[in-house]
Formats: sequence, C-alpha cells, structure tokens
Amino acid sequence: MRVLIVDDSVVMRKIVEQALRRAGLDLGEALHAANGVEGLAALEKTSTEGGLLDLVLCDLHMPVMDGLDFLLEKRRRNLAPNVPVLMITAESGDPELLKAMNAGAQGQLSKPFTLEQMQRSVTSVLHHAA
Amino acid sequence: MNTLDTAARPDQPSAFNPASADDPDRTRWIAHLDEAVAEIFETMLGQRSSVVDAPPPGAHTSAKISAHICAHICATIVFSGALNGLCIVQASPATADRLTDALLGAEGDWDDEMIDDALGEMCNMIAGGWKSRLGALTASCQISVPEISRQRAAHASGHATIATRFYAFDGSVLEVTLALN
Repeated sequence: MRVLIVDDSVVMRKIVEQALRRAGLDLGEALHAANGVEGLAALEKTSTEGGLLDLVLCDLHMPVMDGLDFLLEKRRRNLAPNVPVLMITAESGDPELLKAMNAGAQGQLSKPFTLEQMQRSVTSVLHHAA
Repeated sequence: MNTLDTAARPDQPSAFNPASADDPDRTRWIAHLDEAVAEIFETMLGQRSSVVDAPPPGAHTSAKISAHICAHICATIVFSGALNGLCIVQASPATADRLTDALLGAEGDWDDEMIDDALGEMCNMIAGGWKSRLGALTASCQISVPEISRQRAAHASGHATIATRFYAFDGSVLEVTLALN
C-alpha cells in the first residue's frame, strides 16, 4: 500500500506512518506533506509520474492550506479522483469534519487513536473505495 | 489540593462564567481535561499519567515540581467562538524530550524543532480531546493550530484561569492550563 500523509506536524506524520506499519496494513511507501499545498503537489506528481497512491491520510487543521481546502481543491482539479482520503483530527466532534466528508473525504480518525482504530478506519475506507 | 485560580467575571454570560471553585461547569471541565490527558497518555504514549497536586505557595516541593517550575517550552491553542480562551501546555526541555521519545516510541537525539512539534501536538490533542467532551458547545467553538514559545507563560492574559493541572508521568511533570473568558 502506498500512502500520502498530510499533516503540519512532523511528529504526527511519523506517528501515523508507524501506526500504519504496526497495524499490519502492508505499508510500502509513505509520502509526507506538511500542508494542503504540498499535498496537492504530491498528488500531481504521483499522477504524472505514475506509482499511484492507495490512500491519503490528511489532518483537518493545518496552516497554509487546511484539510478542507485540500479536499475541495483536489476535487476541483480532479486530482487522484479514485484515491480515498481519511481525515485525521484531534477533535471527534469538529463541525469541520462534516464539511470535509461533504467535500469528498471517505472516513475520519480521531486522535488519540489505537492501532486497532487505525486499522479499522483504513480498512473501512479502502473497502468502500474498492 | 489542586490549583484552581479564580477571577470572578460577573459581567460574563453565566453559562460560561468560571465563577467559583464549586461551579459545576468548572468541576466538569476539569474532569474532562483529566480524562482527555489520561486517554492521550495511555493511547498515544503507552503509559499512565497521574494528577499531581500543586504545592501551596512557599512550601517545600519535590525535586520534580521544583525543576518543572523552570519549564520554558510553552504550547498554546486558542479557543474561539462559543468559548473564548486558551489551552496552555508547558514543560521543561527534559520533559518535552521524554514526551517526544514516548510519542515516537524510541529514544532519540531530537532537535528543538521536533521537540517543539511534539509538545504542540500534545497541546493539540489535549485541547481537542477536552473540547470533544463539551457536548453541544463543540459545534460553536473552534481551536487554532498550536503556537510554541520557549518562554514560560506567566499568565493567560485577559482570561480567567479555570484550572492549572500538573500531570506526572515517567518521572516528569506536564503542566496544563485552561483559561476561558
């Protein structure tokens, strides 16, 4: 599985990558982006150079470009339309989450999360995208 | 005895008025904070934390608390909307280093940027976890991205402190302050 992790926190990007590996999700390559702008650039690059992604894990609140705007722009530009997005948020009741789901996110995962929760969320998103 | 600094603000709407130590909202909000912190430590850091009583002014303190008072890495998140205020997480450099080790599951020679990031992420999860437990208020309140400072926060200017709590873990102490209008 090849993923893109979009989060302004280096620590959280490492935590997410480690969790994906430890949850037994057969992670191959994990690309990292620090905000929505970098995330879109990564999607463009993988679309043009090949090596399509299987999943994007994206933080909701980020500087420069947040998760909601990332989703809206991804949809507007038709970037990687078949690659599902799992939103990661520190707040389970965040009203922005509903907007993100309406903007095209396929699932959400709240921090803090267990490995089991990570596994369930990723499996569910990939299953629905298949 | 826990530190419950108060500053009565009779001009504020009573629903969000951190009026007194026995205000049921205050009691509930402190419980929510303790729950959020405990969940983060157990889930993401794989260890238990415990609430440590703050020492009375002038009292002899344990080495842990004394060392902590010199803390100077400070992560702040701003609440806005239905709730206006701050969540401030403070730690000594050594504590922040331990937090980074625990979050990443390995000891490392972390640079300042990584350590600041780790404390900011702790603040993010604590503020988000606390806010998630507020029920209906959640929908009308936003939280900012964390800001990091290498100076101790002297006080939460312009806000009444709901509580300052000290959480002990792995020989270290993390200080969390909730301050609301």
